[in-house]
Amino acid sequence: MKIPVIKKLVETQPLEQLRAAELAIINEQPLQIEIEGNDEGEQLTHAIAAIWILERMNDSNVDFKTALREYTQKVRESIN
Amino acid sequence: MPVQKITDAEFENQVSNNPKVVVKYYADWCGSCKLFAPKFNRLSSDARFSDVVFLDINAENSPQARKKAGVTNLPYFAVFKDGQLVESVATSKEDAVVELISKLN
Repeated sequence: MKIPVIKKLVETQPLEQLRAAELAIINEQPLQIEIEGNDEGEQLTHAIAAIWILERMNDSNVDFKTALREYTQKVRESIN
Repeated sequence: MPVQKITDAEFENQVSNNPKVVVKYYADWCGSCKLFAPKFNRLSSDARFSDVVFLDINAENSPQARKKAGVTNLPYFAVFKDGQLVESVATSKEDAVVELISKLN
């Protein structure tokens, strides 16, 4: 997982495009937007992360840094 | 045998009461975990593993089960025989999971 890739997606892509990209990767369909990643799994992780952060920013009225910190905390908790 | 989604509450019971168990640790944020789900379902109905119990555990919500296998990355797989951890691996490759499950024999 690469934070700069997630940041770029949050800054440049609307939620609808990211949700469409998430579905496309799961259904093995071509992507309509560019998502960097070493493989489909990492691409999907980046899309899911950007969606989570954008939703958090919208729903809780927090800035990107705060939402990103909460997201990375979730990730850390899963593997510690 | 279909994959069973369980939590910490059922983990010890499942691992202790079934001689052969394979656990997939996943999280909702993990893309590779989502992509592996259909493969894990397929393996669970593979005749070679008819005596193996397949479990799915959300690593984010199940710290005890996570610590039991020493989860370091996701997706993460662990096999238990007679209640004891045999081996574990962090991988997205089906071949590696098949090899891991084969260690239960």
